[in-house]
Amino acid sequence: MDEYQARRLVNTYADMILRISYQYLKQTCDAEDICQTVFLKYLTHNMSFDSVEHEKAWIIRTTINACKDHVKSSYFRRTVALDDAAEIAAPAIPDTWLLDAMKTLPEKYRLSLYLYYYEEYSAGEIGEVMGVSENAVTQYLSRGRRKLRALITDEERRMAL
Amino acid sequence: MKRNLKSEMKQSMDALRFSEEEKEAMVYDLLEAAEKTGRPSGKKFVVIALAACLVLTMLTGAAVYTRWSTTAQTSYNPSQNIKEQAEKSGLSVMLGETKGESDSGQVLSATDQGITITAVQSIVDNYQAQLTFRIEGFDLPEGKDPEVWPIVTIDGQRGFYGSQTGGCFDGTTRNKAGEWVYASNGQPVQFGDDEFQSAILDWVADDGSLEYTHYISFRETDGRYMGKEIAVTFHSIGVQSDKKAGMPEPQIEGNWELKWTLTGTGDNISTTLNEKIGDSDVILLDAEIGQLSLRTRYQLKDYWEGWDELVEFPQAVCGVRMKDGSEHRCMSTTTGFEDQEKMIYFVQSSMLDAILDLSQVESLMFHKGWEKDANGKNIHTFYYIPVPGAQ
Repeated sequence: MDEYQARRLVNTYADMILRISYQYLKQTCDAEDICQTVFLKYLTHNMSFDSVEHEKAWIIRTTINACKDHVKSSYFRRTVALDDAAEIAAPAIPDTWLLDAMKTLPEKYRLSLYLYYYEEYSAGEIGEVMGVSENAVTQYLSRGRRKLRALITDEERRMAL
Repeated sequence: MKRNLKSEMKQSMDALRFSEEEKEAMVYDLLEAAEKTGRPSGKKFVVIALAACLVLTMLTGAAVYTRWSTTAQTSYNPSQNIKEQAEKSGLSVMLGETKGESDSGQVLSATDQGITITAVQSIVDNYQAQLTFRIEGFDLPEGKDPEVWPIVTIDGQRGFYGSQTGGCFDGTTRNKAGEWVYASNGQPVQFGDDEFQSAILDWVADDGSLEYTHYISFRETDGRYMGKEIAVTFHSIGVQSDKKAGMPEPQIEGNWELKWTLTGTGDNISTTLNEKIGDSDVILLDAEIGQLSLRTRYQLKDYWEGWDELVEFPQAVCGVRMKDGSEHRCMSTTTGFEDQEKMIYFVQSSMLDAILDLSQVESLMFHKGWEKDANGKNIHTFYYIPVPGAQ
């Protein structure tokens, strides 16, 4: 891998990996580790990509797997002292209502909503990268939207008071 | 108050990003990891690595043997002996020189929208094909990278491949020191001052043409595709998108359909080995070694979970050592379980920097680890398994 390719990978995908890992982990302090894991897998992977979309789908799928592995190993991370943890640099999480609201949704809803509304994938494509059926994704999106609507209503009630 | 989920999502997510300093650190870490693993990969890599050669030798060699495509010449830097072998065995065919021969139905050049695409060279063995084309009449916009992707059929079918990739020759190579340089003059590759400091590549040849090479790893490796009609159809010539993960942007659309009878060589060393690889539980069952690529099979003890994540098989063959001690690296192109119940795994690999003289093959190479030399530099070490079928 040369510098050109390393920069292309990082500039093209690092922010997307951060956003996906945030959907899974609800924090950003491990996002750099996730990025590194994904890029290292890319470095050693043995598949050829038919297109940019194919490559992107592979990155998304690998990010999801890396997040799942990370969650599984989270027991070990609990041993990090709080003082040390406070010094870990992490991308700032924007203070928006939507991100707060999404935190309350199950991870599969959060990820589906992100891929649908931000990455503009179809339900079928989301199903492929998440390893679930298109119908399941449609349900996640529908239920996720319904829950967000309920939260919007609550928030607006609070704001009106 | 009406909410727009899409625009709020965009606003929130756009703000969630790494700083430039964090990204710079990632690039640094990635390059460091690449140096340690010594295993470059990816679509770009295939183009770059296959273009890799020793530039000084290429500059002298190119003057003598100019018939081969720039991509093949730069990739393999073949000696006259290897070229003669490759052409005699049928591995390499200069397609333009077959005009008027027995294949009367062949179309080796097509013009549409003022652009002419010509089939230049095929290099084909039982496992892989490399097809090189010259594209004339296309003005590549300044600062853009070309993007070309043909539809390929063999005998009218599309299910002939395990994987395909391709790319245009970008005018660069590696010198003896492993530095990234321009093939034309051996000078280091320059980087632009744009946001991404992109490398300034030399896509366009002196005569204004581009050279595109399409790489196919065959699904079946018994030579069944040879003697069949191959059709390669280009529908557009475009540029790569500047947008993040954007799709290629066609600049000129048209129809350029080329077809000929696919020929190549089935010459190979086929050998049963049943050798344990290093200190792993993996057994190398057998190998078929061709001039351009090879196929190896492995007996695994347990199901290898890395397959699910598309991670490279760690015990995959990574090179071939010749009788004179020279070593040539290869890269996996297609892998998978041949028989999951019996835990038999296969790897098809492509040589990166050489076309092999099969009479000179000595052993297969497998990744062992890294050691420091006297200067503290990391040295890649290997396990070697002798090839008994080598003559």
